[in-house]
Amino acid sequence: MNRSAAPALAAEGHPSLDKAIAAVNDIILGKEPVIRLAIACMLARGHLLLEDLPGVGKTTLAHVLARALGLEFHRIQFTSDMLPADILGVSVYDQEQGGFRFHPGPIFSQVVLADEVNRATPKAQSALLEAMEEYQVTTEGETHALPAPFFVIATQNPSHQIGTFPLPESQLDRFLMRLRIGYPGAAAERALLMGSDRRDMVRELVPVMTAAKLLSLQREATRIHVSGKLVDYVQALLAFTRESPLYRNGLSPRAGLALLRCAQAWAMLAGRPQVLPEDVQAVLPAVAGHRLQPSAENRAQDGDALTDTLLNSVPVT
Amino acid sequence: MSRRRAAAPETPLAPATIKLLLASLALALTPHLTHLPLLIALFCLVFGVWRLMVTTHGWPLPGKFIRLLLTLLVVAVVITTYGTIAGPDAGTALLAAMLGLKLLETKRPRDAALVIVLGYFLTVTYALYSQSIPVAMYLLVVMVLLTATLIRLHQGEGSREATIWRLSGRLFLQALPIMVVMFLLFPRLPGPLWGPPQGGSSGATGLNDEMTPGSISNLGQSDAIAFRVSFDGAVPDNTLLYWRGPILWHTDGKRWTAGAAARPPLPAATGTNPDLTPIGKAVSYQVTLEPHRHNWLYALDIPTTLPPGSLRTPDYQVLAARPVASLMRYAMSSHTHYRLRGLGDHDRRRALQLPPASNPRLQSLGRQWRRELQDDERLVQHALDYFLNEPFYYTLQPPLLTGGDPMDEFFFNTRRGFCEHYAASFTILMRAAGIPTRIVTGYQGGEFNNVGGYLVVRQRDAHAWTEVWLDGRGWVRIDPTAAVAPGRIERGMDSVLREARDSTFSHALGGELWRQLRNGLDALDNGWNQWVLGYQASLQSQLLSGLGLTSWHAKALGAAISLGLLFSLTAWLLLRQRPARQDPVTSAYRRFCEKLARRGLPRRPAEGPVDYADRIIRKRPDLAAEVEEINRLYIVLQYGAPGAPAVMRRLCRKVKGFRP
Repeated sequence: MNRSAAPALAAEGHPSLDKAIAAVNDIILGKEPVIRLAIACMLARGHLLLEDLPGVGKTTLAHVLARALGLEFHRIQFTSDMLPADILGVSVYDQEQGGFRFHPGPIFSQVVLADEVNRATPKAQSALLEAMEEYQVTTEGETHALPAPFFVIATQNPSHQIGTFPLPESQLDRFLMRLRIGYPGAAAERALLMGSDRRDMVRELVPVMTAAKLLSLQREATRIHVSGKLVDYVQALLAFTRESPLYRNGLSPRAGLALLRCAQAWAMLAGRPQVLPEDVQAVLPAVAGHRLQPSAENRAQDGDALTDTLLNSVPVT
Repeated sequence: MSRRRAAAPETPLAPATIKLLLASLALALTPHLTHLPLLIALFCLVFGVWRLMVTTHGWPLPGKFIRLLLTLLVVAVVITTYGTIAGPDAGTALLAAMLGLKLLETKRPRDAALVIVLGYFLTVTYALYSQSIPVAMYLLVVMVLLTATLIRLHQGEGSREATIWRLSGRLFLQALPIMVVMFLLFPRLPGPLWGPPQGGSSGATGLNDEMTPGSISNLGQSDAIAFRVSFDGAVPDNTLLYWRGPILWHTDGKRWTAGAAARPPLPAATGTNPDLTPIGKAVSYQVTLEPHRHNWLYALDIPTTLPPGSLRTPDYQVLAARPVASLMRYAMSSHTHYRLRGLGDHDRRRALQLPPASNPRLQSLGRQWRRELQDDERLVQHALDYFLNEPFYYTLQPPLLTGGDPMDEFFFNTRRGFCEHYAASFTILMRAAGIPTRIVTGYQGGEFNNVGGYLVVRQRDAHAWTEVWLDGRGWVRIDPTAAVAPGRIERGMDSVLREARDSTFSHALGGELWRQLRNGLDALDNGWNQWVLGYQASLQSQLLSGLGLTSWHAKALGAAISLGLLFSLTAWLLLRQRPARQDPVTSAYRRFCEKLARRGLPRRPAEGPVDYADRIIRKRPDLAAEVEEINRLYIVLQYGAPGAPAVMRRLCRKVKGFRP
């Protein structure tokens, strides 16, 4: 199925978001669909998992997104000897004040890049994932709220690489989307090779938005109209994953909610006041890909094939 | 609903329900006012108004003692009126009064439900009195109303008016096929058990088995229908349409009666009479006879094939086994040309009987003619010529003949009269001259209804004529009235009457149109009579035999199977999974997709509207504007916030006009 990133019939788009996309697109060449999805994920207040080989630009993408949207950015390089405190922060005794003082860890940032999250031990991973879920950090009996907006962009090497702790399914579910960047096209790669240093470009990038603006856009996205007919379609999709023998488990209600939220954001990116089946179809591979596993009888299909089958099997009425 | 019913006995009746109940009961009672005793009708009115006042003005309901007293009073009124509490008239009166009384103790929905059931029963009892089309429709309307009341009773206060009526109407429509099957297949037994009661109060007009000149003039004005006839072939000429009824032999000078029968009537199946020589072909026809509460059936002249179960008297009158109390349909064939011989001594004496002292002048004239003319046939002709040449007038308003010898008075003084006068005076003349003569009463002619293709014989077509015995020719029909007023016979009573009242309403209204309208209405009524009211045992078995069900077992099996099929069909209709009804937006879009599919551009099932429209526009850029517009409207309606109906209409219009 050809799911074009920008539906032709609603080409107007959203002015400020189009600017952001263009800014990111200037640096990450030839990857507009991925960029749109990543921004949609952020509009839908979701955390993003980037899964791909090293060197395709995962880190750069995360950095550019934060920069273009005018967000504070921290990078945490996950390693196998990392402890939760390295992420969350520690309380240290302050002699001047005569008490313990909390030193926030790198997670206290609007955009956190959790680089190579599957290199860390499950213990360290779970510290991150709990923060993602709760939007707050609790250490030694004290609760500290995380800034708003708060995004985690985790990158992950394909799990069959040596020395990794693959995220369990329950943890994968915390990520609203999983994206793969993939190799650039020949022309894009040529421009990349011949162009200036990406890191310099990121540093020079002028933000096109502020955190406050992003928060209001997030609120706006939840008001994109979802009709009963569209919910029918989403329910049909969910039902198919639950009834078909192709999948080990069907999609959860949380996955259904995620699908709707992402579709709303996608419709907003297209500048439309209502969600269409196409919006659902556009975001579904990214939203459902990491949540669906093939059943024992269906080993042949991997993630992308599973979502394609799903989309082609459920009719739009 | 069952949940509410369980709670119902505790809840009091809503005032609106009481009002609807009283209104529907009033409508059920209204037709009965035609026959109910005035006192009973008044009782019902008082009870109804009392119950209404209880609801609207808070009057108290009567106590047990008063109710008991009223009950005894009602029973007493019924017994004093009818002498019994059984039978249709007394039973209906008692039912109506008791229904009224029951209203006075109707407090809870359970009582009201009982009253409604009684109301159904009261409605049905009116069918004992009339079964015409308007009455049947009225009763059905009352049924729907009572059902609506019942629904309202069970749905309680929260019920919506429209829902009640729709549900009641739907229940009625659902009952229709069951009604039709029951009507067609429910076993019909010949006899009074299943028919309407005999001796009811509906008017029995028609001929009598006696005549005193003057008694038929009342009938002469009546438009009531006596019977209808449809012929298998062409309708015989009007001058041959003599429908024979009672035959009068005996006279005391004023009254004519059948007299003591010479021989008992013979069963219809008895073989042919050797005395009868039919001439020409028989005429076959079906008669639908209105109830007249006598035994006789009307037949054209000499019947040769008789309906089963009927009897034939020696003078060729046809009798039914029982008085005709309900509409009766029978088939016959008759000979209008015949020769009938054989006159026994006893019959000859009966046909010459005259009280010696009565009408002396007529008797002496007859004897005088006998002396002048030896030949019987010439004597008969002489009498007819006399009627024609002397100033006799045919009139429907003859002067009263009060003297001791009325026929003398008529023949020599007044000379104004109608068929009875002419038939009676002619018979006295013939008998005095020694020619055996008898009077035949019945109907003559009829009016052909060209809409229904049948003949209508009305009470005003009643007629009396004579049959004389001529040696060598047998009984010969002689109609002296024809000699005086030939138009009465040739054109029928209708034209005579029309001349008589030339400026009547019907004539002023443009005769032919009015006539056609009346014919059309009568044809409708006749169809109802033939196929609904006339659907009795014989017609039923005819129908079932036509379906190959001849034996009793096969019929019962047929009935059981059809009812079983009907109930299965009903159950299937009620229990089947209804396919989700498509909303108008979806079906409009489906039509749009179908139109494109016919042009080789079907929508893939999993394709969303925008992707589909993009694909269409890529393949057929000429359609871009239309497809984009339809798609835009569809998206707004299907996926947007609820919009205006105008957008909906616009989409439908656009899809309708879309010609890819």
